[in-house]
Order: sequence, then C-alpha cells, then structure tokens
Amino acid sequence: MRKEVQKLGLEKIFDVDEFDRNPVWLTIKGWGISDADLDDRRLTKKLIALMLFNSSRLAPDMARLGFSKIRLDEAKGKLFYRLQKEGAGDNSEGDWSAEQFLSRLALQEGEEGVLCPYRTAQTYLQRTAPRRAASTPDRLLLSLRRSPDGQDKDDVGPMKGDEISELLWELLNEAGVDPLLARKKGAPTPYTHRATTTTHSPSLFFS
Amino acid sequence: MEERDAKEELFAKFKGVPSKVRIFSEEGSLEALLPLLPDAIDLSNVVVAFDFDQTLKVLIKGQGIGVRGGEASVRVLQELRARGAHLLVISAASPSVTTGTVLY
Repeated sequence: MRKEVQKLGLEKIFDVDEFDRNPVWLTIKGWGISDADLDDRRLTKKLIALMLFNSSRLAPDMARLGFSKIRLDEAKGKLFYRLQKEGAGDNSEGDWSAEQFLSRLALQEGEEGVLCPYRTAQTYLQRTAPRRAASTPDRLLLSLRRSPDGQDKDDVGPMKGDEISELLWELLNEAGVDPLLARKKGAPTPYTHRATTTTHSPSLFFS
Repeated sequence: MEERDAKEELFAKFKGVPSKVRIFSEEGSLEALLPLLPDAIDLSNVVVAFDFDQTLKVLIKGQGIGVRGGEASVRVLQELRARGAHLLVISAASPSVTTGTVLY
C-alpha cells in the first residue's frame, strides 16, 4: 500500500503504517526447521501466516481457499490456489476466482526454507490427507476443533473464519505483537488508511 | 450471533449521522466532491472515505497508473487535509501493484 500511495504522489496526504512481519517470522523460525515436526496447531498457524503475509490476501480469504482448487506444481515450484466467491454455494466453476499462486522460495545453499509457503503447504496437505478421506471437506484448512462430543477430530470439517482468526490471534500474541495494534499497522485485514492518525475498529480479524 | 449483535450495536451508534455516498464519473476529478461538503472552512468533523483501486487509483490511457482526475484531484485532497477533514482509504481487497492491471 505504501508503494502504491507513493507512486500516486499521495504520501503526504495518506499516512500508511505497515505491519512488521519480522516478529512473526522469528517466532515461526523458533519452532524449528522441520514442518513435519510441528504439531497440527502450529503447522496450521504457520501455513495461514505464510499464505496471508506473503500474498495480497486478507484474513477472511483464508476460509475461502478451496482444497480442490489447491495444487502444487512441482515443475514450476508454485502453489496455485483459488478462492470461492463470497456467498457462493454450489461449487460450480463460476463460484471461483481466477487462479493465483505463491512461489516456492528460491533457497541459497544452506538455507532451510523455513518460511516457504510452498513447502509448508506440501507438508500440510500430506498431513491432512488421511483426514480428508473420511469426509473430503472441500477447503484447504481443516478445523482443529473436536466435535461437541469430544470425540476425535477427523471429521469436523473445514476451518471457519472464527477459528482462523483465533489461530492468527494466538500467533501474533506468541510473536509479542498486539493483535489490535497489528490491525492498526495494516496486517492483512480490510484496509483502512487514515490521513491524520491510523485508527481502526478494534475487533476480530473476521469482522 | 454475538458478533452479529456487536456489529448491529456498532452500526446503531452511527445511525442518524449525516452521510453521503457518491460514485464519481470516470472522466471527472475529485473536484466533484467539493459541493457535497459543508461550507465551513474547518472540516475536522468530516470524514471522507475513498475506495482505492479504480477510484483513487486508475489506469490512465497512455500514462499508466495515476490518480483519478490527476492534479485537480490531488489539489482537492490537499485542500481537504488542510481544512482538517479526516481522509480514509477503505479497500475491500488488499491493494497491490497488480490489482489495477489485472482488472483491466
């Protein structure tokens, strides 16, 4: 946003604060280099953060990412995804956005790719594959909540916005970032940039 | 349910606050905004919110990305700011360099 405002020559009119992702990346790096070693909760949080903060997506979009439309292109090193349009219901082709992608990070020798959305998505898809067999939810992100009877979580369906919001909140807290402040600083939520001060409605990410 | 109640409560607070929504012509500048504003010099009690892509930022034929209405619009924005109006950009999608070009 800052670059765009500058490009338009409006930087003296609109102040744009930017969200500093570094504390989040440091936290994730602190979890270790192997995604396979992460528990389900951390792996999911990591995937959400990597997709959200590496793209122009907004938090509410995460609940609209369709599993059936996610594909990893090994040759191109790209994670392709599409979003289901708001209010769409019957899963027909017209309900989906154009395909977009995140690229696999090109690594220097010795780098581990800890912050690579492609690699984390790969692990996440492998990890969740057995759970999908039972109910085949059509979304990328599967809920981590247990069913009301406290039974196993293999068939609780896709993750909804409130749970994604909760995970993001947890991650930002763990990174020492005040989630409300993150909103003010332009974390990927519906953007509001103010000319005089940057003040935003302090509510959930999915408001 | 709680979230919906909270939203309704929030909206209710602003019910009755005078507001106007305008869609400007593609060709014009933000000068069209001025007649909609109060006459008072001090606009510190006024909030002017803009969409970004395709509203403030447009693709100008032969020139690339620019401000809708060019310099005339920039002057209006400067004037509004000088008069104390609160200027906001509210965008439904996270703006990016490619957003404008993709839509075209």
